[in-house]
Amino acid sequence: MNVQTTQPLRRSVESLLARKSYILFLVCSVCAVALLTWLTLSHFEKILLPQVLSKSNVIASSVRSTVEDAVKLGIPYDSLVGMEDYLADTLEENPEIAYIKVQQDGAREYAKLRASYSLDHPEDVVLQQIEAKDNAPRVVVAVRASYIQEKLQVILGDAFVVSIVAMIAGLEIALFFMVRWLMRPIDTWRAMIRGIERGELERDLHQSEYGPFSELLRLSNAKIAALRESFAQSSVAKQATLAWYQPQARDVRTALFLFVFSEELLRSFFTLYIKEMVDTSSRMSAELAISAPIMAYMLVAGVGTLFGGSLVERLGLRRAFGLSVLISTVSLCGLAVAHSVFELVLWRSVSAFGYAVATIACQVYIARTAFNEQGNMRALSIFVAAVTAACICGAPVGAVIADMLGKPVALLFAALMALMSWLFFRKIVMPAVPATDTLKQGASGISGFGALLKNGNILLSMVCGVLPGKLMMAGMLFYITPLLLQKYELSQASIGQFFILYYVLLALGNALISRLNPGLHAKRRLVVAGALLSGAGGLLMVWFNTPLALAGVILCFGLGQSMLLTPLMTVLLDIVSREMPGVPSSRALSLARAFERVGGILGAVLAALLSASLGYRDATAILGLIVLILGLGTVQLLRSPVKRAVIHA
Amino acid sequence: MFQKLKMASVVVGILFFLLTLLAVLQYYRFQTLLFEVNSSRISVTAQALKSDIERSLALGLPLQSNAQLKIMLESAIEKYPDIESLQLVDTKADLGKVFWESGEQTSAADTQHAVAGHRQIGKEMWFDASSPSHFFQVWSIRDPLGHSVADLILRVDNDAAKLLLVDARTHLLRYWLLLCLASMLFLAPILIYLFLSLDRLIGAAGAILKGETPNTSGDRSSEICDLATQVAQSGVTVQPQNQK
Repeated sequence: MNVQTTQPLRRSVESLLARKSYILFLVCSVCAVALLTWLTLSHFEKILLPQVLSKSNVIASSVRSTVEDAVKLGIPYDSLVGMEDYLADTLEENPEIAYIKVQQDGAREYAKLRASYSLDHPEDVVLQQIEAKDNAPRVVVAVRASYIQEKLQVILGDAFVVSIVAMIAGLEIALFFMVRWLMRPIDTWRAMIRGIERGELERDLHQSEYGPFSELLRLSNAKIAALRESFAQSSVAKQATLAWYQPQARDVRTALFLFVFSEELLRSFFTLYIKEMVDTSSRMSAELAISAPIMAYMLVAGVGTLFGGSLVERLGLRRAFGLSVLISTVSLCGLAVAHSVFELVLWRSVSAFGYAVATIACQVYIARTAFNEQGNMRALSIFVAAVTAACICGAPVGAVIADMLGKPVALLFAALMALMSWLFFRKIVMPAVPATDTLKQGASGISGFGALLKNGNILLSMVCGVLPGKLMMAGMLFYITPLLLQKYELSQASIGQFFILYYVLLALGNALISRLNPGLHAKRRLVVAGALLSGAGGLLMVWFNTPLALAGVILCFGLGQSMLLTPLMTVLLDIVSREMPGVPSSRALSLARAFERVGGILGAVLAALLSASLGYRDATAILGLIVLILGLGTVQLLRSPVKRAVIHA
Repeated sequence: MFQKLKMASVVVGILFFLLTLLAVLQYYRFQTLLFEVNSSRISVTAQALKSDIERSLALGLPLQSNAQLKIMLESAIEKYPDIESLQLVDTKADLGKVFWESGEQTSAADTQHAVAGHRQIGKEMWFDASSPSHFFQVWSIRDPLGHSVADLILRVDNDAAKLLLVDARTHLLRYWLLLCLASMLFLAPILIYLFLSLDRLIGAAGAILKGETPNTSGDRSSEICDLATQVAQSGVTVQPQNQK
């Protein structure tokens, strides 16, 4: 009899327990966060209101002394010229004021009211008044009651974003302990049960397991050891050389999360960090100088991705990851103490190589833990989930650290995170190298790309599907967004929150598409719609020049990419299997990676050139237009025949 | 029990982490907001002063020889005691040559830092609250042709804002502690109760493996017990080593 070890037929007590624990934690967290936010914001409002009123008092005094000076110069109070303009300017410079009145008993009243306010609603304002004295008139300043709430709404928005980020980071921490205490022991136990069933007893617990299942493991292992001993007396004994636990893709998740997190921490402030260096040390054009480290990063990461596989193969997974952690840690420290753009380019290139090797090492680890296609897909989803979680958390957390403690400290924190990823990686059990290693099958380098590119549909998928996305990402998101938001005078922490829009949409979209798993033709339509939407958002900047418009551009881009990325890979693999059956699918995926890097480099160059000549706003619009035009090319994919066999692949 | 406490403490720890991150961020955002409000209050005075200086320039009075400016600076400090010092600095001179100053002595390094910061940002007003004891505000003074000819540097005492920050921090810490404690008291017992249920299931599975009858009842299926039952039904019953 085979032991059913995978899916339960109906909802079990265990899943019910897990669900209850999860809901309990979620409800408790939401309530605690809401309460803390409400209590603190109420208190902040109490502190800020007197400060704002004190400012309005200073404004009232300033207005009164100006009028008093004019009267002292001999201008009659009733004939003051330009009071309307003066009061209008005062209102414009001080957004907290609803209206301002200058009065003198028995004389003319000068008043200016903000357009959206009416004198019929005194409850909407808090009045500050300075009484008339000698030549000085009475000044009444009405402060908008909603002003403080408007300011505190920003903190409320922050609280929401931080809660999402902290929940995702918390989930990663929880997953680490869940794997250690629950998943790993139960997998080991299942393997033992399977071993007893099949009579495969030549395995042992190589390390003690933790958690509530340890007792079951101890019992099972004791029995197996006894059985092994009895076999040893009766027949040829087999040594227990192998471990019951077989490495799983999820084992590498925490290390991968921390490593990618260390890299993503830089996302929101690195462009501004380069800009600071440019102003003090570089002689080249500021825009080109800003783009230089981004281009270098894309280039080296691209080359590293193509050729890093052979390095991983030669060194082994543990050493390769250790080396990349060392490289990344040193380079991030180097970036923290850099003083010139040249140093930034150098250290950024080094960190790009470390990043490429580390991600390849993790991919190879994950590939080696999968034993079939389904397992491979599941393992790959773990990789994507860890990277996405790190991307969502990285930018806002990095922005907050840079804002609070400075950019060099944020870089050092990133170095610490990279180093910590090694602590988690070095403890995991390495999977056995399979006889036909996927890495060898995939073959590193660029061999076979030429043949693929001769196919029109593949070329179209690359140039109109893969490349524009990365062009927009490097150009608009990584290069222009921090600079444009800084121009809008947004704080570093707020800049970081813009990045979350893209990654959250991407994660949600991917999850939705994976769940719905539409047919191949529907996926082609999604690719076309996504390609067009990715660029179309950029056109918002033609009409609007506000942070909200930029948020709209990022939202459109995120939505477009979430519609495009996963379906495009399915479409691409379908084209390869249908039109070039002799070419391994991994080659097509490598080609897509290469085009992603080319897109990234082009994006940084284009953004730099366009920003230098037209400014950030127009550069965003033009980048959007380019991506939109390139996206039109994907319409051709709708005309290609669909291979029925892989519709629900 | 220790294992269950460890598991519960991880969940509670994650909640603490969430609340800590939120509290720290809210505090820093409030600090920024408070400094902004404080700075904008001072900017009203600074702007009035800037207008007066620019008016004197428009009348043809050169900055370096207009002794009236010194009186204006002193009068502003007298009126607004928060302002520690006021300086009118030559924009063209690299080392920040001071035309007129009033109030406490400002170090040359602070003056140069403020001028450099203002030049780097290239805006009409530059504000820096990085120093804990005071903040700087720099305004461009322009001649009638619109050329920047001097910088008006204000060094303002931050003590009042710092006191408010201490108050905010104390309250925030109190709320944070209260919520952490409340969450722990609410969450931990329920979690331990849930983990005890898991313990009972594991005990039952262990009993099945030992060939005993599990002491459980319920209408729901248990994955763990099902696995153990499958093993038992397949004819292999695990016995502890000492019962062999």
